[in-house]
Amino acid sequence: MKMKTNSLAKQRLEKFLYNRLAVVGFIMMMLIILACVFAPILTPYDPAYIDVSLKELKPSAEHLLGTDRLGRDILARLLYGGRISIWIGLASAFGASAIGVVLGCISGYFGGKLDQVLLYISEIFMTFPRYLLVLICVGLIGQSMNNIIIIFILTGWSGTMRIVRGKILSLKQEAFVESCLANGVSGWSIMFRHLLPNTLGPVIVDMTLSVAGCILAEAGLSFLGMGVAADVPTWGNIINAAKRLDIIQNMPLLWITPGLAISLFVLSINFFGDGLRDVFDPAQ
Amino acid sequence: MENNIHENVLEVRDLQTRFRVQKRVVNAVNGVTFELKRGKILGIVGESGCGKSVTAHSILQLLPKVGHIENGSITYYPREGEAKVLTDYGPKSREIKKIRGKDISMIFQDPMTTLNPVYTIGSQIVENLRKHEKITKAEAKERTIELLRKLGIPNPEIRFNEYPHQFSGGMKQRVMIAIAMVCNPEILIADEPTTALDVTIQAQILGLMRSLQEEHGTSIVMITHNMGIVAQMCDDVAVMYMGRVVEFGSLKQIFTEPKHPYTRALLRSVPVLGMGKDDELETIEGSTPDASTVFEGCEFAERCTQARPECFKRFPKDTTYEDGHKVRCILFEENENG
Repeated sequence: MKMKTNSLAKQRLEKFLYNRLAVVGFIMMMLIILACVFAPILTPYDPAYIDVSLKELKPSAEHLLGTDRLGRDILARLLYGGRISIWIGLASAFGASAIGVVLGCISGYFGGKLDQVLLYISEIFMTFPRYLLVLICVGLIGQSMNNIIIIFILTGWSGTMRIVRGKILSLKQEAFVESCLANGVSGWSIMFRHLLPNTLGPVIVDMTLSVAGCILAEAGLSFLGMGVAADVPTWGNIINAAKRLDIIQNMPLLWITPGLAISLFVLSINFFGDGLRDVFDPAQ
Repeated sequence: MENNIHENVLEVRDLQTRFRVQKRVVNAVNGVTFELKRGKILGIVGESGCGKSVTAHSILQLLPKVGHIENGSITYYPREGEAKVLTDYGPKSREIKKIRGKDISMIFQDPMTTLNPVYTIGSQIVENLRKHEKITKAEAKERTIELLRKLGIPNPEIRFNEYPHQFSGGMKQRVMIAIAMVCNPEILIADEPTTALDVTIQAQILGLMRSLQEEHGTSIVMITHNMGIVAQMCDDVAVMYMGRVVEFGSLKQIFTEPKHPYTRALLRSVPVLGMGKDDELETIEGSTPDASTVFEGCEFAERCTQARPECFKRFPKDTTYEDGHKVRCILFEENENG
């Protein structure tokens, strides 16, 4: 009996472990996240500490990736920057997906006027150029990490909502919905307990893509000076600080390392998301 | 009728279910009356589109948005407590949700799609049990496994944690039966439960339903177009045509002395063991009229071989014989009168 009690979780774990790419993605993702979380332990330097006497050092045992033009340790900036970039990516993607999923469920399940109204609203968000909207919002509510997250959530939910709505529209015609009704299951329970899990596959994939998208968008916004304040290190800010031609030519580590960090993180989270989808979709 | 109220577990009186699609109005069920005796199996037979399924769905108020019960009453007499008039409850009311799955449950035609693909079958059965009864998870699991074993599912402890796609069609239908039966309902509505299954599995499933019915004293409404299943399973039979019950009687009455021309034609179109290989099966001429057709006389008249001019002019009345055999045909009204 003991074996059976957790066999479902075990089944899922085995399924996940079987997908090599997903495991690699998960490990890589966790390594990057942990490295950023434990940045104070991994590096003795303060990412904002400026010491011009140490500027433009080549990589050495003391400064593993060298220093930038103001003598700040590149590794420290990378790790501390990752904290903010990853947090922005995860929080915005998760928040946007959560709103999209809930609205999509309601829209698809109830249909009718409510569906029309929600669709119009999502259309407004979709047709409006995202960056313009972001710029307006930043102008209105100011420039900070939390504001960026709120703006990304507000502008990011419509895609997820459409995915979920479409899935629910077709799923609610399935016979198991009728069977649920015949067993006295209430509408809300059918919606969130029975239909929603059936839509999670594409939602998870969409969410991982959107984590990547948010990290890149944050970099883009920082480039325009509308993102997180320029003195706060984020992966995007670090790259943008390195956009001068002489830096690109002479100090490749300054832009290659944050670029690599973004690419690796985005890639690993996509692999991980793919594996997750397989785990939650039993028919796979 | 008044003195044998508790003999019946379900009474349907003059049920009229109407569908409104844009401006078209379709009376899918048109004045259906029948009763289900306690612990018995009632078969509802008829061609496709005759209103069998709509009748069944009306009982639990599971009609699509465009459909509603226009008229008539459906009364459920629980073993204990007051009679409940199901037609008084709204389709989304709390009362009807309590009855669904607990007192009256339903099995559907296609087991391949009636289970939620993302949950294990165990959790789907337990869900229903825990919704209607206050028991712990462990108890629910135990009872579920016990029921699965009774339903002939091998290794129920392991199968409990498997997903619907890991089951064959027959096994899925057993799971559906388990979901429907786990709360020991008084009435089981089986909407063509074996149509999607092959013949061997059909026999197994029917046998299982029979044995569960005998063990728990469940009453079953069996909806089918298969006369063989009716002969094998049912105690009473209601024959439906174009939303009306044209003949109602015990199995014996229907099979040995069918009265309505439609019933007779139906029975003649079914092969019988021992018939010669050159004997041709009869067919019923014509096809079922469109559901929105407005009739002035008997709906079956234009396909009926015994139709008289009168049949096209007025609706037939129900003729009830002393032994409870009921038929809705002009031919028999006259027999009774003269």
